[in-house]
Amino acid sequence: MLDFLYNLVVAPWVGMLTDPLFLGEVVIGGVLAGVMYALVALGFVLIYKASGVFNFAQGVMVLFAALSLVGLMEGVQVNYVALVAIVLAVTGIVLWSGEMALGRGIGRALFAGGVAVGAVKLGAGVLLPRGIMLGAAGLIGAGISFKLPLWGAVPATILIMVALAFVIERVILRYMVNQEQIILFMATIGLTFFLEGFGETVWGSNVKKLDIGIPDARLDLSKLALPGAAVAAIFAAAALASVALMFAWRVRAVRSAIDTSKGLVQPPLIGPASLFFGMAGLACFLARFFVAGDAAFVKGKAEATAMLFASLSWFGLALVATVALLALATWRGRREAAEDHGADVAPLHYGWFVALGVAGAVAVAAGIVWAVRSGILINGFELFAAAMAAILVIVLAVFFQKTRVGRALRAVADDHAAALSVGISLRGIWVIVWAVAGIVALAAGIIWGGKSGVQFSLSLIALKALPVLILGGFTSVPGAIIGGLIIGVGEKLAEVYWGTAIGIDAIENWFAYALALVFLLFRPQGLFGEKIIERV
Amino acid sequence: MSEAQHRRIGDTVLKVDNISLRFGGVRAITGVSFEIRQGEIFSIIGPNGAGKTSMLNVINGFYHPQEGTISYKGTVRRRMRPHEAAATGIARTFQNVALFRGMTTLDNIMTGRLLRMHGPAMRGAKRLGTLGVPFRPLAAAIDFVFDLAFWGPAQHEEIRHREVVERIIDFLEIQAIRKTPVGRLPYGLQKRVELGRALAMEPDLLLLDEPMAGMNVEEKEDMSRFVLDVNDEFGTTIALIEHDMGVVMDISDRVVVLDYGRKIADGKPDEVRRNPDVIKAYLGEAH
Amino acid sequence: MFYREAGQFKSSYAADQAIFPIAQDRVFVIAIIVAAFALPLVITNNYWYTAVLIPLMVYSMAALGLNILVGYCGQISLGTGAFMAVGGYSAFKFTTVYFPDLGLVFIYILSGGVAALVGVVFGIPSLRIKGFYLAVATLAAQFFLQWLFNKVPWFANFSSAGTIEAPPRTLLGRIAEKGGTLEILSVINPLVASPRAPPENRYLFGLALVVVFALIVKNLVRGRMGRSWMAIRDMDVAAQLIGIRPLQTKLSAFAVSSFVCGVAGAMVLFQYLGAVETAAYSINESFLVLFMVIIGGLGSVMGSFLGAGFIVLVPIFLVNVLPGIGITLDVATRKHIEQMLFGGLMIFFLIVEPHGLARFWQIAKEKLRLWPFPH
Repeated sequence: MLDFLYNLVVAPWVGMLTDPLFLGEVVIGGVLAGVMYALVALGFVLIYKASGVFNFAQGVMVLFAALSLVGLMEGVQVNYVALVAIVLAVTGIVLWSGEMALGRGIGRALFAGGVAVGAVKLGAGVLLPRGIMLGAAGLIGAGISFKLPLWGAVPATILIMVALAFVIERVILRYMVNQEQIILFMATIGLTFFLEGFGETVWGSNVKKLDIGIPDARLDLSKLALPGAAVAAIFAAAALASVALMFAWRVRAVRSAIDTSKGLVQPPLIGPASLFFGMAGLACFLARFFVAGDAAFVKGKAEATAMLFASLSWFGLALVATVALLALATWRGRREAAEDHGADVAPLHYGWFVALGVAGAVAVAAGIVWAVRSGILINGFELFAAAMAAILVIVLAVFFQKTRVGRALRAVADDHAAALSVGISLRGIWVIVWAVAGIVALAAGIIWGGKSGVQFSLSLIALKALPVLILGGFTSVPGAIIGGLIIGVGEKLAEVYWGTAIGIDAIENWFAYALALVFLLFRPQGLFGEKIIERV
Repeated sequence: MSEAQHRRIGDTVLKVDNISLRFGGVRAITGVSFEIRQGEIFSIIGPNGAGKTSMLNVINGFYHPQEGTISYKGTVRRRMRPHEAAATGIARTFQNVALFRGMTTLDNIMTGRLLRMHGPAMRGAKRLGTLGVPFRPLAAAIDFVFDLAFWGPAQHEEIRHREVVERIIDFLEIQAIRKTPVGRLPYGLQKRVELGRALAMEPDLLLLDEPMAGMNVEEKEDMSRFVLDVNDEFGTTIALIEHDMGVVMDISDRVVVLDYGRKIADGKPDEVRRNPDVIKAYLGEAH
Repeated sequence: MFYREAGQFKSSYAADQAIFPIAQDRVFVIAIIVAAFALPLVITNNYWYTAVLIPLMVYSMAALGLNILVGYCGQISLGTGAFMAVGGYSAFKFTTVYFPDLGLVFIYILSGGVAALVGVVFGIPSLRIKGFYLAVATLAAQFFLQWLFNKVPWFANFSSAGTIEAPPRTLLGRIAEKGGTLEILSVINPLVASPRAPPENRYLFGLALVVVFALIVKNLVRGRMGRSWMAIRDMDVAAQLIGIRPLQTKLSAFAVSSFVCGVAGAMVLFQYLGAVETAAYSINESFLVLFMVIIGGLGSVMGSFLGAGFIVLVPIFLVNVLPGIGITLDVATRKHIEQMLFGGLMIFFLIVEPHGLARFWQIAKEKLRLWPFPH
C-alpha cells in the first residue's frame, strides 16, 4: 500500500526532477500537442463567439479540409459529367434556399438537373456493361485530371471551405435562427456525421500522407554559442531573480496589487501555479542531493551546472507568469476601482513589476540557452506548427477587436435579434464566420495531417477540443490557446510520469476530461470565459 | 378601513429589516425596512428600477442581501434557497411569466401541488414527525414503487390533488383551456394560469410581481377580483408589485414606495398618495 | 370517421388520466403488442431475429432510457454508451462470479441497479452545470468508464482477449430448471441468453422487458416524478420556487435513465451480440441512441420506439433493398452513405420537426380524426 502511495504521489515528481532535460522535452512535446488542440478549439470559439452555436462539426471540418487538400495534391480525376452534375446540384441547393421566388424556381430546376445528370452517370456506370462503357462512353467517361502543388492546393481548399460555409448557412443555419442552443448543437452533430460520410465517399477513406515540405525531424541548434562570461552573468541575474520570488509577498507593491485586485479580478491559479513552478525549481536543485539511487551525489561540475540552470529557468518562468498576471489584474482592478470610487486609488509603483519581470525573463532565457546547448531536441515541424498557431491567433485577435466585421461578429454573438435590428446581416456574418472557422480548420488539418497522416481519427480531435474549451472558456480566443496548452502538457506529463509510476497506460484518453470535470464543478466558465448569469 | 378588514388583519408575518443588496457596484436596495401583516394586501410601488422585483427576489430567496435580515413567521434568516422558501409557504409569480411551456394548463397547476404530493408511505413517515425522519428514505422508496405502477395509492393521491386543482381552475374560470399547452395561450391567460399555480401551493404568503401588466381594463378588474377573493376566502397574505395606481389604491391595505433602492414612504394608500416625496419621485421636481 | 373521440366521455379523473384515453388508440396498441408477441409463429428466418427484431428491442430500451434523461428532464447526456457498458459488465460479473444460479431477470435488475448508482454519481455535476457543459461531463464519464473496462482485467474475468461472453442462462434461474427445487416452473423457464438460446426466446424475452419497462416509464412520466422532471426541463429556475429540489430531481432522472440503459447494455451482451468488448459500448453508441431519441421525438415514449426502429431499419434497407435495384455498394461506401443519411436526416428533422417522428404521428392522428373530411 505504501508502495502504491509512493508511486502515486512521490515517484512522478522524482522522475521529473531527476532528468530535467527529458522533462523539458516532454513539456515541449506537450506544448506542441497543446497547440494543435488549441487550433481546433479556436475554430469552436470563433463560431460560438459569433453565432452562439457550438459547432460539434469542427473536428470533421478539420478532416474534410485535410482530405480535400491531400486529394487535390494527389491528383483529382474529375469526370466532366460528374463535375457538371455537382456544380448544378450545389448551385441549385444554394439558390433554392434563397429568398427570391425566381431564384428558388431556378434553384429547384438546377438541382433537379444536377440530380438527373448524376443519375445518368451513375446509371450508365452501373447498367452499361464494361465493353460499351469503354467504347461509346467517351462522353460519359471522359474527364480531366489534374494535380495541384501545395501552393495551389491550399487556396483551392480555402475556396472549398468557403463554399462549404456558404452551403451550411443556406441549408441549415438560416432555418435555425431562433432555435435553442441544444437544437443547434444537435444539428451540428448531424452535420458531423454527414460531412464525415461525404468526405470519405468523395475522397476515399484510406490513410493519406500529407507532405508540406517541412521535415519532421530534429533541428540542430547546437551552433548557438555564448561566451562563458555572458553565461556567468546570466546565471547571476537569474539567481537573484529567483531568490526575489521567494520574498515577493513581502514587497508592499505586490501586496497592494493583490489587495486592489481582490474581489474585482480573480486571476485564477496565479498563486498556486507560480508557487508550483518556483518549488519545482527549488526541488530540481535539491533533488540531486537527496534522491535515492546512484545519483546520491552530484557527479561533477557539469551536472551541477545543468541542475542549476534547470531550476532557475523554472523559477524564472514562475516569476514571469506571476508578475504578468498580477500586473494585468492590478491594472484591471485599478481601472474598475477608479470607476467605482473615483480616482482616489493610491498610485502603484510599476517599477517593481518591471524589475521582477525582467529578471524572470532573463532566467528563462538562461534556461533556454542551457537547454539548447545541452542538446535538447526540438522538432522542426512542431516548431512550424507553433509558429502558425501564434500567427493565426494574433491575426484573429486583431480581427475581432479592431475591424468592423469583428465588431459585428461580437454583436451577433451577444444577441441575434438585437444585431438584426441594427442592420447587421446575420446571414452574411454567419457565412464569414464559418468560412474563417473553415480556414482555421484547414490550418489545423495541415498540421495534424502532416504529423500523423490524414485519416478518420482526425475527426475525433473534436472530442479532445471540448475539454480545452471548458478550461479556457467558450468565448475566449486566448483561453482556447492557454487551455490547449494546459491540456497538452498535462496529458503528456500524466501519461509519462504518472503512467509509468503507477503502471497504468493510456491515461491520455481521459485525463483531459477529468480536468475538465474539475473545472466544470468549480469554475464552469473556464479561465477566461464570461460568467454565466441567469436572470429570473 | 372597515371593521371587517381590521378583523382579518393580524400580526406581522414578514418583517424586512435594513436590507441592502448590491450587484458589484450597483446598489439595488439600500437600507429598506418594512413589515407585512398577516392577512393584508400589501403593495410595493415605485418608479422603474427602484428595486421592487429585487425586493421580492430577496424575500423569495433568489437573491441574498449583503446586509439586513428577514424574519418570516418568527424565524430570522438572511440566506434561504427558493425551494426552502416554497416549503415554508411562500409562493410567487413573475413579471415575465415563468410557466412550463411544454406542459398544459392542468399540468402546470398540478406542478404547484408537488410539495404536497407524497405517497402514503411518506405521509405516514411525516406524521411520525421527528421520530419518522430515519424512515423517510424507505418511505420514499416505497412510494416510488407505487409510482411505477400508477395504481392504488399512487393513483388515489393523484386524483385527490387533481380535485384540488380543478377547484382552483373553477375559481379562476379557466376551464376551457385546461388541456391547452400554455405556450399557446395569450399573455393575460398565462398570467392567470401562473396565479393558479401559485395558489395550488396553498401559500401563506403570495408574492405577485406585476400581475396586471399588459392587461386591459376588464382583465385588470378580473385579476383584482381574483386577488381580493384569494385574500378573502383563504386569508392569504398578499404582497404585490404594481404600476397601476388605481388598482393599488383600490385593493391595498398598505403601501410601501421605493425609489432608487430606498424606501421613501410607507403607510395607508391615502397617506402615501399625498406624500410630497412620492409625488416628486413619480412626477419629478416642479420648477 | 373511424378515429373519432366524439362520444367518448370521461366521467372520472382516473379515466381522464389513462395512458390511452381514446378507445381506438387502446385497441391499436394492444393489437400491435399481441402481433409482436405472435411474430415467432410467423418468422422462422434467423436473419430477421438477429439483424432486425432483437436489436430493435435492445435499442428501444436504450432510447427509452435516454429519453427520460434528455427528453423529459432536459439533461443532455452523451454517456449512454458508458451506462450501457456498466449494465453489461456488471451483469456479466454477477452471473459468472457471484450469482451464477440466479435467473436472468434478476441479474438484469441487479445490473440496472449498479448502472443507476453509477449514473447518479456522474449526474452530480448536473446541479451546477447545464447544456453543453453537462454534455462534456457525460463525455468524461463515457471515456473514463470505457477506459476502465478496457484496462482493468478484473471486469473481463482476466480473459486474455478482453472480450466477455454471455454464458447460457435461463429466465428464472437454476432453481426453476430441470433438477432444481422448483422444477415445475421449468415450463416457463426457457433459455434466454447466449447464442445457444433460440433466437425466438431471446426476442420474446426482450419484447417482454421492453413492454414492461415502457409501461413503467409511462406511469412514472404521467405522475409526480414526470411532472417534476418536465418542470426542471422547461424552466428549472421556476421549478425551484414551486419547491422542487433540483438536485434530487435531476439525480432521480439520472438514476432511472441509467437503470434502463444499464438493462439495455446487459441485453446487448446476453441477447444481441453474445460476446462484446468495450468497443461495443463506444461513443458511437451514445450518438446513435441520441439520434434515435431526437428523430423519434424528445419526451415521448412512443418516440423512443419510432426512433429506434428507424435507425435499426435504415442499414437493413441499404444492405437489402439497394442491390435489388442494381446498386451494389461495398461495405465501406455503404457505411459512409449510412452516415450521410443519418446526419442528413437528423438535420432534416431538427429543422422541419424538432419534435420528431412522434409529432408526425400525432399530426397524422389529428388528420385521421377528420378523415375523410378535409376540415
